[in-house]
Amino acid sequence: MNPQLSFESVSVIYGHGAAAFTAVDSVDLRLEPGEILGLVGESGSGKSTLARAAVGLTEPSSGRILLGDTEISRARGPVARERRRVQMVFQDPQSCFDPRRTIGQSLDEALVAAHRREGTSVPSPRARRDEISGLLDSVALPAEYAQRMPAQLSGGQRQRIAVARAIAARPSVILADEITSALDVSVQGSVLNLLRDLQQELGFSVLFISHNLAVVRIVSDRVAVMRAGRLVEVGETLDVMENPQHDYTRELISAVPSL
Amino acid sequence: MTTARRLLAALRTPLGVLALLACGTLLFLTLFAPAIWGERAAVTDTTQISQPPSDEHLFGTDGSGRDILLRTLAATQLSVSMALMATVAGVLSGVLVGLLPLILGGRAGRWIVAGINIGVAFPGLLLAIAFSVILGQSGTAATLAIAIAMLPNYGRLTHNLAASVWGRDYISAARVLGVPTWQIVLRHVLPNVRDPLLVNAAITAGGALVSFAGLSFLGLGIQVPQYDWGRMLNEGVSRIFVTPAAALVPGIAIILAGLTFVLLGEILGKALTPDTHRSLSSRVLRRLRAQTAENETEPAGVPAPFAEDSVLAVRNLRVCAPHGRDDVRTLVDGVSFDVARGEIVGVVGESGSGKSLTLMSMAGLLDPSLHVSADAARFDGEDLTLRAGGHPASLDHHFGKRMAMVFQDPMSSLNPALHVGSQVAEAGLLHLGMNRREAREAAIERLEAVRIPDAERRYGQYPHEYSGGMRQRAMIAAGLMGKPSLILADEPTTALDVTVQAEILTLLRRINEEDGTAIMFVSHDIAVVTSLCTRVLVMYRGRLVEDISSEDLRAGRAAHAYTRALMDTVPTMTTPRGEPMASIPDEADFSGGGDGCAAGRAAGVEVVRGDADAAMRGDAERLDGDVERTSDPLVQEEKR
Repeated sequence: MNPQLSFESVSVIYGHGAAAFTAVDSVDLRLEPGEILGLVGESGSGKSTLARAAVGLTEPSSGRILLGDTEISRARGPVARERRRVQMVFQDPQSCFDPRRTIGQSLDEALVAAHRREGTSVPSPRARRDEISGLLDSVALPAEYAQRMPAQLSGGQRQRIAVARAIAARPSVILADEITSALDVSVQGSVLNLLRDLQQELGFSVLFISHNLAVVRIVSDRVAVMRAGRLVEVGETLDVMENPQHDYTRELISAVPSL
Repeated sequence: MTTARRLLAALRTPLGVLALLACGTLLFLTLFAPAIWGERAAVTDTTQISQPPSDEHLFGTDGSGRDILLRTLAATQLSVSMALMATVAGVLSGVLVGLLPLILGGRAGRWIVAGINIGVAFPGLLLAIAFSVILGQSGTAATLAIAIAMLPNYGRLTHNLAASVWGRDYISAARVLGVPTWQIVLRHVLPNVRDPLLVNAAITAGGALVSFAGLSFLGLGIQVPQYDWGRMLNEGVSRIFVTPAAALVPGIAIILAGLTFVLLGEILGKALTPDTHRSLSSRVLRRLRAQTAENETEPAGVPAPFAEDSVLAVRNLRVCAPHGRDDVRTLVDGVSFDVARGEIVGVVGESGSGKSLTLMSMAGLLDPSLHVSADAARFDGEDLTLRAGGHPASLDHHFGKRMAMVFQDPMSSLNPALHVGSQVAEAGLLHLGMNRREAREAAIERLEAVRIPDAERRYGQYPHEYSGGMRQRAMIAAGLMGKPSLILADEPTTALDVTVQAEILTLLRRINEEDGTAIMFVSHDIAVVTSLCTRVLVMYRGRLVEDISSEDLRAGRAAHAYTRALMDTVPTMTTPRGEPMASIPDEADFSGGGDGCAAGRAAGVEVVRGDADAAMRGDAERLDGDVERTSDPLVQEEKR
């Protein structure tokens, strides 16, 4: 059973004194094992900052982030290793892979890191190559793609491989930060279907950050709405969509263009 | 183009040949000059002291009767090798110090950065002299002193470059995976900052050579009986009126060697930075022109008559980009359309479909390396000279008066250093003959018209004080300074939040209704396009595959298979939740689907479809010959 990820009155404040800016303002949020929780809000509402705090790219100014019973915020040493069970997929397919390394090298890095974390001995290069083929296969790409450079792939393919890299770390939680907003609508579905299938198969939970309510409605079990660093509404997806409690949520829903 | 191919291309230029010759000569002299001439250069001949140039001694002799030319040649080894050693030591330690703040992080990192910043404040040569004095009078000490003087600059350069790479997502991904920091630095940071460091190192080596000669000249570097060019200069300068060659020849050697390093840096720079502008070769241009002329003589090529009420009409628009040396790839292929007065027309398609290129060629804003042609183009009753010289002719005189443009990124389309208001007012000053006060009043009025609150105060604010939506409104306000009959909008809401997007769409609709302004609206989002526009043009791989009313589109009456597929992939608030989402697979090909209205493929020039978006960005790397480099999966599929 995968542990839950919980944010306990987490605040992130950038800067000091008069210039201080509260990006995340005492957010309490629980991501249940195996669920997909949509997190929506406008740019600057603090949704990415919240995710970055969970993986240690930003340190919370106050509050705690826990994976199961282990506090992973401000973690050092062996506890920081526990934090690696929370993985992140980033927005920009242009910059999510090192332009000078092949896809195989990038995936290999993730595999080696996963083995180190679990304390198992790192398998031979040959065994890792098989694992990389398996990873590519799980995101519906042929094994030859391991030899390609990121610039040779389309944005959609790169985002699928970014999901594979996150999977390679055998995560309990994946934070998906606007993973399709830089893609064409026509390939968005392939990335999201894949994420959902893998989630069903492997049982990790997903914090699905997006500004596109229509997509969040399709993908998520529950939805949380953030505005100006605060959590304004959390609930079952259909409840929130059909019966929004907060004015801002209503505004967001009405702004979705319809066909 | 790969680095190796760029290097070869750079070496084929006259500058490249010169650099190659200079580097070769310098390398040869450095390695072999002392062995060949060393002994003869050391011969002192008391009968030949301070002789003028003669057959025996080409540049004469110095105060000890030694041949100046031979001594200068023999001194190359010491002068160049010491300069190179100083450069290597300085660059390596600078890179190390510049990377340390990332590895250490926290307070230690900040202290190192502070130290680097203090070091940069001192002039390099002054530091070199100071350390040379401290370390003692010898060649090694001077080398060390120059290396130390170089360190702060290199540390700063490395740190700046590395810090910008550090913010990229692939670094974040590695950190989230738990890859040790030093590994991240070696694996991801160093290779990605290497190129500018190398170019700089070559140019710095020239500087080190001059510095080293300077130290020797001051008596701090190389000591007798050894000699380098600086030492020779030192000995020769006191007798400069007796035998000028004794000082001039080593001086010239210093200049030539320094220039050689600068040339090397120049060539390295050319080889390592992707070239952004390449134009069509004259051969290809001729072929394209001939082909256009041929099309005109064919009866089928006669353009359809323009509708009376159209504000913009284009027939058979083609945009080509250079492909390799002798080929072109067609990015927009035979597109024809009309925009009626007061109509809102949307253009949709995936990235690389040529939709933005179509719009930008109307605005004359394409990269100069692209070739634009059309059988006919008409704006507001006036012929557009798209074909002049095969390059897009500018529509400057329409902008600010009858045509307005709104871009995707409102942050980069406004100048951050100028007040928003004065940028809005600019059109009034430039095109409408207003004076400063009138332009200001008109600008404030337009800002109010696009619902900027407190417009009078906002007039004097900078773009960063505006929100993204407000910046986009200000851009629209600037376009409205004249009475435009057409607004060209290139993905104007893509960078905005949904709620802000809705406001901008409402604003555009209102402008259209109140002023009767026609709008051509490019977007990848077919839902946005159908909600705003009355008619939609669908583009696929550079062709216009469907021209359909929004009403028909919404009712599911799209004729082309691609349009229907595109519609199916748009998630809406009524899409069923449990099922897999629709998407267009990598290998899909709609080229033959439906009764599209794209013109026939032109013959004569080998046509390869390319990534139009890459062309827009002037991204020569991806426009280049290598098929595998295109990022558009459809493109790759087609070529396989």
